[in-house]
Parts: sequence; structure tokens; C-alpha cells
Amino acid sequence: MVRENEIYQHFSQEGLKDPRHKETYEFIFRELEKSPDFRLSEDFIGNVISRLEKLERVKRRNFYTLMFGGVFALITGFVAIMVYSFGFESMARFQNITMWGVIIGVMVAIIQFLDQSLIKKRTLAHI
Amino acid sequence: MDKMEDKILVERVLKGERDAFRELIRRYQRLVEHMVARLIDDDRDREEVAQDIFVKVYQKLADFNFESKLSTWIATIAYRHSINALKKSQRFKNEDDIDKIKFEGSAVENTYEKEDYAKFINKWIALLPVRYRTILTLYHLEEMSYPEIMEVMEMPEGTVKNYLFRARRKLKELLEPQLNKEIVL
Repeated sequence: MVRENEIYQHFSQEGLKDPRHKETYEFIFRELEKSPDFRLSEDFIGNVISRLEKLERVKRRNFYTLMFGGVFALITGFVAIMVYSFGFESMARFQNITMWGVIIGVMVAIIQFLDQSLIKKRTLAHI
Repeated sequence: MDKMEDKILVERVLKGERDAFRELIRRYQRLVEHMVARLIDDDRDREEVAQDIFVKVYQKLADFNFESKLSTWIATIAYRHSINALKKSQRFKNEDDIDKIKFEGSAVENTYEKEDYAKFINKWIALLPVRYRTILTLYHLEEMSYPEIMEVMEMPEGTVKNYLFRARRKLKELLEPQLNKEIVL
């Protein structure tokens, strides 16, 4: 769409009189409305989706690494405090494997909950 | 594109629907394609920059508040990301005075006779500073309004109009000798 009023604006502001200038501007306006000679690849959409999925995998891996690191640090800290405060004997209370199972179970549940609320709700891959 | 349709589409994407995001890319692929074609000089970088733009769109989509059109918002991301990509590759020239730039035309003129006029004019456009190229693209190719361009480029209306005027005048100056010589209009 050649915008006549804008061509006349060029004429008045540049002080043009020769009609050939109008033809030149019409040509420029027409050419400016043509798409550049570049096309994205056929599988562009697929590539974007693949990149997003890859980013999400990395994000989830980092999240789990961080969470397991945190859980490990908590358990280690807990054991260290127990040993420091009450001596090795205090650990006898935790010899019962059920107690450790409960602690680890709670930690895994927390991680799963955070994973669900912080990551999965905002990813493309969970459908 | 209808704003309501866009809103529904964005909500579907935010719920995690992969097909909705595919549809969003399909709708705005041409806009991004035009922008990277005009702003990124190197053919090899364009595809990657375009992918980066849509990845950013996805990552920031939850922050989009529909105060503007989705196309304007995507164009803003495309513009900023393209500028960053140019700065990263040290191809960004912060030259705003188009009249001070020296245009070396021999490379363009040599290929002129072999190619069609659209390619010819695109080669001249590629020599313009990035801001001028962006305004020409958004205004003429995407048919955006001045307020939309102002939002994308964070420029006042007067500057947008001035850049557009000067870009077209510069193209006329560059093309006129060739057109008068070669083209029977």
C-alpha cells in the first residue's frame, strides 16, 4: 500500500518538484512492503520446542541436584548435632531403620511437592 | 490478530499445552522472521537468534499482562534480543545520524543487474543503522502504528517519525541515480 500522504510529506519537507521523485518514492514504498529474502527452516517450530524441552530437563536436573544436596546437608547436620550434643550413643535411637525411612520419606515428599509446584506447572513436557 | 484469541492462546500455553505454544510460534513466526532478516546481518546467526527469541517469549509469557498487543510485546523482545546479539558479535554500531554515515555502494551496485529490485533495496537497507532498519520494518512490513513502534523501541513519537522520514529519504538518495538510469517506471 503506497501511502500517498506520506509521499507528499516528503515532497513538502524536502522541497521536491520533479514528478520523478514521486515515482522513486512510490517504488521505495512498494519495495519496503516486500518480505526480505530470508526464510526460517522448515523444522523451526520443532527446534524451538526441542530447545525448551532441553532447557527444562537441565532445570529439573539442577533442581534435583540442589534438593538432594540440601537433604544430604540437613541429614548430615542433624547427625552432626546429635553426635556433638549427646555423643555417639544418641545415634542408637536411630538404629531403627524405620526412623530413617520416615526422615527420608518426608524429604522426598517435600522435594516432589516443590517440583510439582515450582517446575512442572510451568513446563511444556508434562502434558 | 484478535486480542481475545491471543489471550486464550497465552492461557493455554501457560497451562503447559505444547500445541498452544506451537500455534503461538506459527502466528508470530513471520514477524520474527522479518525482524531477524532485517536486523541480523549474518545469515548463519538468524535462525539461532529467532529460536532464542521464542525461547525468551516462552520464559517471559507469564509476565505478559495484555496491556499491549501480543505482536508488539513479541516485537519488543525480538528487537532487544537482536540488539544484544549484535552487541555480542560486535556488529552493533551506535550510529544515529544517518547523514554522517558513509555508504559504500560498490558492493551493492555490482550485484544489481543480476538480482531483482527487492533484493537490491534490501541490500541498501542492510547498510542503514539498526534503529532505522527496525522502524522501516515495523512500519512498512508489519504495518505497526506509531504508538506501537514507540513501545517496541522506547522512543518518542517525534523521533520515530523523524527516523522513518530520514531513512526513506536516504534510500531515495541512494537509489535515485540507479533508478533513473536503469528503471523505466
